[in-house]
Amino acid sequence: MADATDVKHILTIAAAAVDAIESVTKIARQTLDQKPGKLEAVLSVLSAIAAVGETVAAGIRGEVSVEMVQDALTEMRATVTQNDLAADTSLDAKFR
Amino acid sequence: MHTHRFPRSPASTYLFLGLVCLGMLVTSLNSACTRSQRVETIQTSLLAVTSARDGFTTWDRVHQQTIVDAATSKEQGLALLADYREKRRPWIERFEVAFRALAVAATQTDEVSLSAAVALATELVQAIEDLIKGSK
Repeated sequence: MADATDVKHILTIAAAAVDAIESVTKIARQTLDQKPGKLEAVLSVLSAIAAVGETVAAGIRGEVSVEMVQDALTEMRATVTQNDLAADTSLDAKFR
Repeated sequence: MHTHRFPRSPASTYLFLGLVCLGMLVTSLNSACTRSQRVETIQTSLLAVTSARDGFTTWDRVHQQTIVDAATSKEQGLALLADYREKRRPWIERFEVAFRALAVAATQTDEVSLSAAVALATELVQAIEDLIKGSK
């Protein structure tokens, strides 16, 4: 049985999924308005919704997603940039 | 590469965690034959690489500050920092390769992608440990 933390985790993911699907649906409507009857547009929308679904399912199952790995990489780049900035600032302050 | 002594720092803690994770992932890889085991192996590998990343970035911050502290002029400090950052570049690229390999393994079901990701993670965690130990 899921405990409160699990339920909160699932609800957070579900809320994010709803937001993501709403965004995709909005884009879909705009695309279909601009290109009515275009099969490619419909397929691209279905593909986008499926991708959101896969990510959500992975999140609920506790699997590693591509987004998680990308976030880890992005965080590393940001930290290294901060380190560089801190060292440059410290050097400036030392020889001001 | 500059050699300086560092006090026992968070970097060591991160590395310790990374090594623990490494042991766990090697164990889990040996029996990784089901989907859930594959997921567990990837999660453990990601945790190990993330711990190594945190150890590396902590060490990087301390190391750059040590360079600044040792500089006798601004020009010398800038040159030493530039030299260090150039030498640091391959390490960052290794992290990028390891993270990307894990991303690929997370989207596939084959043994090759999993083995490659785990091998890259294992080598990287060990290399980072050697790097930090070597600078002490």
